[in-house]
Amino acid sequence: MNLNPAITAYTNLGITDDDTPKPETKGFGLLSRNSSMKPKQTSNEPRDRVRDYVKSIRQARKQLKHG
Amino acid sequence: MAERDPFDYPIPGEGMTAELGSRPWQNPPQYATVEQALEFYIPKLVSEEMYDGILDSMELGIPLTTMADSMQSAAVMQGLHTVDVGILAMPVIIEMLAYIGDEAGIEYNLGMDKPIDEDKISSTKIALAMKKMREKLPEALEEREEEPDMEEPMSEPAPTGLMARPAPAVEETM
Repeated sequence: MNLNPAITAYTNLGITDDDTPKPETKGFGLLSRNSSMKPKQTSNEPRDRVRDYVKSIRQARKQLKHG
Repeated sequence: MAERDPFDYPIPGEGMTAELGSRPWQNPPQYATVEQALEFYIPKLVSEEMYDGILDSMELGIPLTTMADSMQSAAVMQGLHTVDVGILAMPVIIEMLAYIGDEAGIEYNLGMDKPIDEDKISSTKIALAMKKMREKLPEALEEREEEPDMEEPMSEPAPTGLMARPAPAVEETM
């Protein structure tokens, strides 16, 4: 039984190692759209901001380990 | 001697309570947002007064999750921030502690190991127990395996529809 909320908070951030954005596939047809219809997700929720902070510190840790 | 009003006595347990607002966590927090709380924590974590203590704790094997939880609980009790801001700030504190440990070259325990479920018996233990049982009681197991199946074949339920074929009458030959 997990009694420490820190473990839950840390593991539930949903950070994946592979966060490289996928290249947008563009149609080449005459009637294809010029721009992507996907709205850009810019969430400003505290949880998302915390995720970004954790990501940046983790990135710094990786650089520290691998030089 | 004047009689005292029987209702003019303290409520049981009143001595263990305090007036609302007299505790630090019952007042507005000092740091209202996650960013404000982190601006408090991160300089404190890398400060000279805490740095050595953190490294000592890591070397002793105290999980980083436990350290982060203790820090935020203490700050909540001091009225520095609310519980929810503390929960949100904890992952950043854990990551920062890990960074400090990596920087100092210390092997630390993150505290993410899965707890062992003692109630669950592993399949290897079950197999081992079965093997021992076979060795000790081979005759009993053989007898059990040779026992014929005593289950009766299930009879089909009789159809009950209007157009169903009537069941054949059992002739009594007595």
